[in-house]
Amino acid sequence: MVRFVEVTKVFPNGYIGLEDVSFTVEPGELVYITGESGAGKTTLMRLLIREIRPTQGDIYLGEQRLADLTSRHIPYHRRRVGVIFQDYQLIPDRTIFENAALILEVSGVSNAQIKQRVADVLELVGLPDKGQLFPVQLSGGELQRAAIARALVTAPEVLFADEPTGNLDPETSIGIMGLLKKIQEFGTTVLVATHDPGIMARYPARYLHIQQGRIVDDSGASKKSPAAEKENQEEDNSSDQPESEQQAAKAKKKKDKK
Amino acid sequence: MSAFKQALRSIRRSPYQALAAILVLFLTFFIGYSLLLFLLGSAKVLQYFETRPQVTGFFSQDTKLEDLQKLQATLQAEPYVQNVELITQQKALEIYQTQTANDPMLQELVTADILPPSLEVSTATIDDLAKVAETMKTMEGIDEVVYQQDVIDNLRYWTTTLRQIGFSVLGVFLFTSLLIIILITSMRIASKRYEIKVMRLVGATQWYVMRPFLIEGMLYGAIGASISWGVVYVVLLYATPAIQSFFGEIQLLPVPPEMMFALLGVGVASAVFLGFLAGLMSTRRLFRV
Repeated sequence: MVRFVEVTKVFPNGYIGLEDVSFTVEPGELVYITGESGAGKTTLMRLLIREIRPTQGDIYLGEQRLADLTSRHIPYHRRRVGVIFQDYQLIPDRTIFENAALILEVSGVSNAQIKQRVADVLELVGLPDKGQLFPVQLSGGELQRAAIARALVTAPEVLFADEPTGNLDPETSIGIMGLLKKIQEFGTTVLVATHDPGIMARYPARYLHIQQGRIVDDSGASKKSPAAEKENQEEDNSSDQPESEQQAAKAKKKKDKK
Repeated sequence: MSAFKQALRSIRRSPYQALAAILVLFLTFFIGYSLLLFLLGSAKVLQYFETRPQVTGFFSQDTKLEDLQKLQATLQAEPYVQNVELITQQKALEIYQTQTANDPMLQELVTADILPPSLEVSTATIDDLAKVAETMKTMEGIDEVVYQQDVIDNLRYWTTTLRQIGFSVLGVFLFTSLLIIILITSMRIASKRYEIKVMRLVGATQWYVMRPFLIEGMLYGAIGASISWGVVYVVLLYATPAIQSFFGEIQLLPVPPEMMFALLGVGVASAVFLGFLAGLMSTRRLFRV
């Protein structure tokens, strides 16, 4: 479904965004793209939506080789890939409904269909009554949900979430990741760029670890990230203990953290 | 949100920019409509002079009618002559009496005997006037040849000069209008840079992004040209009596309403095209990557 073949991206100033990156993501798969800030996660997303071109290598979405896309075809390609941007990229003077409706308008969908589909997707992301509000009136978690709604409204083949929980508290992060997991279970291929081990532990899946533009670890579909493994291990250990011991362990852990 | 609604919203949000664009288009098309009406009027005036007897040959009073009729036939046979009218002494008296109808004393003093018979000749083109005049000067019994070459030459000169000045001023204003709409549209684009970026990232086509800006430019054109047409029409109606009395028997006014509406159509279409062109030129820069 998504295939990167020996992709290298060198920016005009000489900075290497990605180097010799190859991987394949199967349809309906959930994959985490992990790595520190500046490792190349966002570059990967920008390459996938053809915002930038690779310096070397090829990228495929299905059978489509992105290098073959003419500038006229790029908008149509972008509608196949839903992107949840790190900074949401919602238009401030449009309501949440209008923001979510934007891609449908762009695609020439009828007004009646837009109303129905946007209402459905706002319901799905848990914002059924926020459609008439402007982005400035929403909390961080709600903005993230609105961004997800906009990315989902065309039912894209691939959803790329760039640091979807980066600005959120742990509870909201889990809620957002739960939503992305649900979307993946509906059959959408979901790529999540993150460096939050908490959500990876909660929703284990394959991960690609990027370091300085290179993939240094591809866990495969069944393997979890080391951080997630560790966190899960702790949870498993504590679940074997009696309830009182569990509470004591939790309290001790809290105390240690302090 | 439709592109038309977006364009209207953009105009509503920055009314002074919109006003500047509409005002400059108003001035441009005010000059344009005035120039067109002037050209139509001057063409009519020239046509009037060109189709009236332009060469008049006055003969001595004792010239016989048969001789005059022969000369008339001779002139009429020339290919460049359109019409030759014989004004006998009696007919000259009738004309004189009509022109002096308000002054009976003058009428009493003049009889047919003292008025010379004449031939009034009109040609197909004004360039043939000199030929006719030369021919008439050699005719037997001719006293004097009068023709309006100088009047027409002067009229032509002024019409041509005013036409050139008018078109130059119109050209400058059209160019200014184009630049102002480009400037305003570019300002709009700059203020919507973020929105445009988001639209492109989520898959908006070039045409979708450009549409509201093009419509906005076209709206400026349509509004500016319509208002200037209305003002020109009102001024023309108001000035009709004065203009008509100045030109006397040359029937210039009133301009038929269908012609005015045709002018409106041409003006609005040109202004819409101008707005579209300006919008296109400013938005094209967006997509140069």
